[in-house]
Amino acid sequence: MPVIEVKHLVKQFKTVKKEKGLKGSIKGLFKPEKKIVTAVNDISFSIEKGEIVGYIGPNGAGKSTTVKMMSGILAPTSGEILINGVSPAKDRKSVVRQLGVVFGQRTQLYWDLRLGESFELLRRIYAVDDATFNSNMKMMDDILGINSIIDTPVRQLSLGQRMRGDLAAAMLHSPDVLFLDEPTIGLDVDAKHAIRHFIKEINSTRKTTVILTTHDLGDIQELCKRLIIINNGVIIEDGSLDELVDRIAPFRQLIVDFYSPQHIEHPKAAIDKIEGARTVYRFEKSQITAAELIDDIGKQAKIKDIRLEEASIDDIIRIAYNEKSEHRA
Amino acid sequence: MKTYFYIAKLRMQTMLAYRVEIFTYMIMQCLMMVAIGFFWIAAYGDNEVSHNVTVDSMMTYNVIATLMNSMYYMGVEDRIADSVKSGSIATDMIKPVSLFGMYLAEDIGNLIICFFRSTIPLLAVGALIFGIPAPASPKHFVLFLSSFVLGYGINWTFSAIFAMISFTAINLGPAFSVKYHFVNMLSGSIIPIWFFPQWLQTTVNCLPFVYMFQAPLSIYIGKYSINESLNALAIQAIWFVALTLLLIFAQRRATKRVLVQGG
Repeated sequence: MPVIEVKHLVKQFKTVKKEKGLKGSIKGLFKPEKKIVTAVNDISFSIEKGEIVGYIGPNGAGKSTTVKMMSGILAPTSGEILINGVSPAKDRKSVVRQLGVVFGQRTQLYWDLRLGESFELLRRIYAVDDATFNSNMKMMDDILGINSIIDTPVRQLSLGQRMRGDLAAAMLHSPDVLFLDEPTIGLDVDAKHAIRHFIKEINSTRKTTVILTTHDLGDIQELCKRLIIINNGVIIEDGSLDELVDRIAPFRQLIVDFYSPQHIEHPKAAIDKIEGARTVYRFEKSQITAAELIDDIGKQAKIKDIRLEEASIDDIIRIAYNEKSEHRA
Repeated sequence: MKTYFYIAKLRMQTMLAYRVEIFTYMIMQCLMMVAIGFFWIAAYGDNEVSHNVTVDSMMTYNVIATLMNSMYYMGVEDRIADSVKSGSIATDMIKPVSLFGMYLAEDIGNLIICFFRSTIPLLAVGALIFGIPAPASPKHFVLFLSSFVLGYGINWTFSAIFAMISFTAINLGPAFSVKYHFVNMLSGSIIPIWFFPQWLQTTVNCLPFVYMFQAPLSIYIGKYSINESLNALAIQAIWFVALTLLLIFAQRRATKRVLVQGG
């Protein structure tokens, strides 16, 4: 049975259209013009236990709205969400008991008090027993170095430290599912690394299911075995990063430097360009492996140096975002 | 239950983190109390009694009203409005606790801090300038305590219902201060309603506000007999139950339409 099931989920917001100028403001006061915006438009997916899923898309695509509905903060307009078989819209309290949620842009920690106080509160809220609490705290210290900041008031923590605190807070009650909404936003390289390490660690040792929204390509590459890409409220892609790369950019480039200018053709690779002693080949991964190609070329002329290039994740994601939105427009 | 105690405790710790605020409030309240006290002395002039209330009782009324006003600190209003506006309500809703239970626990924390912050300075200053603000009798004092608790309940549920408008309207702007002054005027917290013209008294008596301040205060100074006090307590209880039911109803509706701002 999947841990998370989302079926035909729709969320619409009513917004008041603001008109320009004083006249518009006055008109808006008495006769506001309402506009319905569809943030999430009929999406469905299911996630199995122990998966790390990257839920990505451009700004305003509907990512956070989906996460908020899955964590019981927003009620869906229509459609259904089941977390371990329970709907968060109907029974928020029993669903959030099994969830850990971290919002990168806000904190659930008590701003004015030392970090440890927030943990003590959560321990009572979730009725975590002493043994579990202590072992979880030890794990948080091992991975995130929590003990060094536990006595600092939250407002004095750096963003990276605060995020560690928030992650620890979300994991104290050993939830089955962890929602991370842009957990690495604004963090430095070191802090990002610590957080990715933490996510991998809890996923492998505890089989925690992780759903992660992010704009960080490093997060996607390092963590996400599966990507769900959403744009304009609809899912445009659901699969592994490799599948996505194969579909969008099945080509690789092999850059070969010979000792002298050559013109060597190959039946399974096209020549992109020749610049003096350098020849750039373009080939499809499914057709031939890089090793075979190098081997074949090397038989005909002596190779000085080679480099293999793939389309960058950056480009691939950008293409994925754009290609489907063009269809829609 | 342990959870809510801890929330109240954390709220107290948070308040204590702002020491300057505590002292400023203390001084402000003393000033207010003294100013209103001298106003009543001037207003009574040569009269010893007005509307069956002596000058001394009026002084007691004033001191206790100021004390109550400081303890009726309704944090729930700003709490809801701020967290809806900033979107931090999301972090409240990811916890498996009742939202309003949490807000009430926080306000109980506020109440305890306000009690310790205000009681001693207000009573000391009040006693020094206007005489000891003693209750009419021990029986009256016990009845006052129950009436105070019910008054708190009425005030809190009313504030919570009022604050819930922000679930849909988001920006309440000056509505809270309008409400604050409205309650101040119509609850007898500064001027007892018995000084108002008869038609206004009749209207105001049909509203819940007098049961927040004037009813407990009238019991304290002995303007109400024991029987009248019990009567007032019964009406308070009815208002409290009615407002609680309305709050539960409004909460069921509002949380369905909650808007969360920002990313």
